[in-house]
Amino acid sequence: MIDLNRVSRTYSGARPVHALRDVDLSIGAGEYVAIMGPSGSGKSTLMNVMGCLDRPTAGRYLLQGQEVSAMRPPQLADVRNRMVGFVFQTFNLLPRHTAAQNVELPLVYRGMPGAERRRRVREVLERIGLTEWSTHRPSQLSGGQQQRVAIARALVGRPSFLLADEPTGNLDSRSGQEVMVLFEELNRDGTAVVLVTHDERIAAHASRTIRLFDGRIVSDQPNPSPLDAREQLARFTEQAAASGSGGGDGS
Amino acid sequence: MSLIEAGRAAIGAVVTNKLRTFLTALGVVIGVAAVIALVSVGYGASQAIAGQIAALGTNLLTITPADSRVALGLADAERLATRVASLTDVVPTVSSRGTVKWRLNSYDTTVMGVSSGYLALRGYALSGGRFLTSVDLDLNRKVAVVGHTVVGELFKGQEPVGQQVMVLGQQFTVVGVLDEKGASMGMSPDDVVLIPVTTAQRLNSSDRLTAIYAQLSDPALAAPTVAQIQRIFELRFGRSGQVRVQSQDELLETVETASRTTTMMLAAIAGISLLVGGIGIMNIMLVSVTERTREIGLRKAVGAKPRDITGQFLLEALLISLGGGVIGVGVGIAAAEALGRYGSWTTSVSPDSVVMSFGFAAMIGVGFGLYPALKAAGMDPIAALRYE
Repeated sequence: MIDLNRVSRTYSGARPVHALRDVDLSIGAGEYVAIMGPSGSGKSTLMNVMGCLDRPTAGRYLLQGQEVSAMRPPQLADVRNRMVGFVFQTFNLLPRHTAAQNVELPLVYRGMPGAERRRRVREVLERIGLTEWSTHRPSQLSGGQQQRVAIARALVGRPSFLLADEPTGNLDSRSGQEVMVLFEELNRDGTAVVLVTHDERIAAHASRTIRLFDGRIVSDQPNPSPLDAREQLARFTEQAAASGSGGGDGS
Repeated sequence: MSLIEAGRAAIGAVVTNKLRTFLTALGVVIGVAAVIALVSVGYGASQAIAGQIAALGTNLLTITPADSRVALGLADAERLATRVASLTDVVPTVSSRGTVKWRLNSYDTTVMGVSSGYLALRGYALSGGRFLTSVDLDLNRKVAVVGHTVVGELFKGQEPVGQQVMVLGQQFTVVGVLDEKGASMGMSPDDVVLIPVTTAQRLNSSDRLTAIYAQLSDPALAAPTVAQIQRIFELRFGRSGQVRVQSQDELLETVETASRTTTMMLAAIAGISLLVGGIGIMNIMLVSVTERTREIGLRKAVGAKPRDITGQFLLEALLISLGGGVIGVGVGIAAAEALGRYGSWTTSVSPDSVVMSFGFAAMIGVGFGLYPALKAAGMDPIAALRYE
């Protein structure tokens, strides 16, 4: 599905920065991949290239067999719209729009008729468990709910893969764990998920871990025993219940 | 993205920041209103003048000397009356500004020496007494017929007929009073004292006429009659171009050209404020684009094409300018109405000025909205998403 062939991305300037150097990477449909690396390792650049927000300066990028590396901005916009579902650390919801309107946005740019859009939005919000929040604005939602709306927005266009950039970075650990459960379920249903993170515990949920350093892939290993997010969440709930009952002894 | 979706998004954005939108649109409101109100003043004036000229009668010819070396006399009027068959009436006139006095009152007005045909020629009616007769002319009598305005100003409600008045230092007897004709602009036909043309010549100690008025039997005969009159004067003076013969149509045209120029100038001045309003739109759109950098980045990430973004911001600018335009038309018409009612102007809202100023407002919306919109569309989505 994703095929990077000797992809480089160099930022020109007085001292050119080689953010990516000769990266070869293939990710298949339905995979659950974590991309890791310290800051400055090139993982943001790799994410931007994979998400078609940026173009490689050298090499080829094939997405679903389509050569993306040579496309013009309007065509790239179309590819992003149909094939990529972005999830950002800061959610990036439009504050004046309701949850449903935020989710609808990619379909609006696809030019889909209103009735079908609303049906798809309803389906996705139901899948995410936010039906009753559909008319709320982001400011009326918790961080976890906001990120779930953002995931619904990423899913609504039925993309080839979800591209999540530190999706739990702005969430408390419980909401973060809930988001990880959601990713796991989506992946089980066949959606490929690419997580970009520097958090080992988040990366441990993926079945494959790619590590970047200085613009190169330094390791690419399968994870034979990924963390079960649901189990983690259950344990988390237990702990919270235990500490909660302990604290509430006196009353 | 469909136009309906884009329109809905634009309305949402514009409504969100009501005060800002209103203040931005205000520039356009004032501009459009100023164009409509000022043009209505110019247009109203030209219509009033045109109405006055038409009221003089469309089949009136005015013959004046082309320059000060040419002297027209009573004989010329006589010649025209006898030789030109298509003229039903010929009136020689001598006019000057002068002071008329009655008892302790004095009043500056136009003193016109005319012949007996003047009453019918200009469509006057008498409200009292009699008009000047050919006997008055033959005997150079010092008799006067006074206009409605003069009655009010000089006699303060007293019956003027039979009173002795001083006109240009000579004593005259008022024999008649003109009925009010009424006109609002410039020279009023009611602000006049009429005396026999022969008496006027004597007062001026000159035989020169100011103008000869002639009535056409049929307006269709204007062109051949003018040509015939010119021929007569060419024979009389030995060369052509010594007199100017103007029909009412020509006069109307001259006045209209002049007032059109004035109206255009007023429109241009008002147009400048509309332009300033457009700059206000551009300013606020640039601010808006910067404020919404992250929104633009997000929209691009989920698949907005550059033209979607351009369209979104252009539509917002257009919405502000058209909204301002609509309100401006209302305010402009109201202002024109108020100027007409409470000011000393005759105003008439010209449909052209409404269409033009509204169209100009739309053009300004597109013109000044385009740069901010293109700026938004050209943003790099990665940088825009990271913008704080």
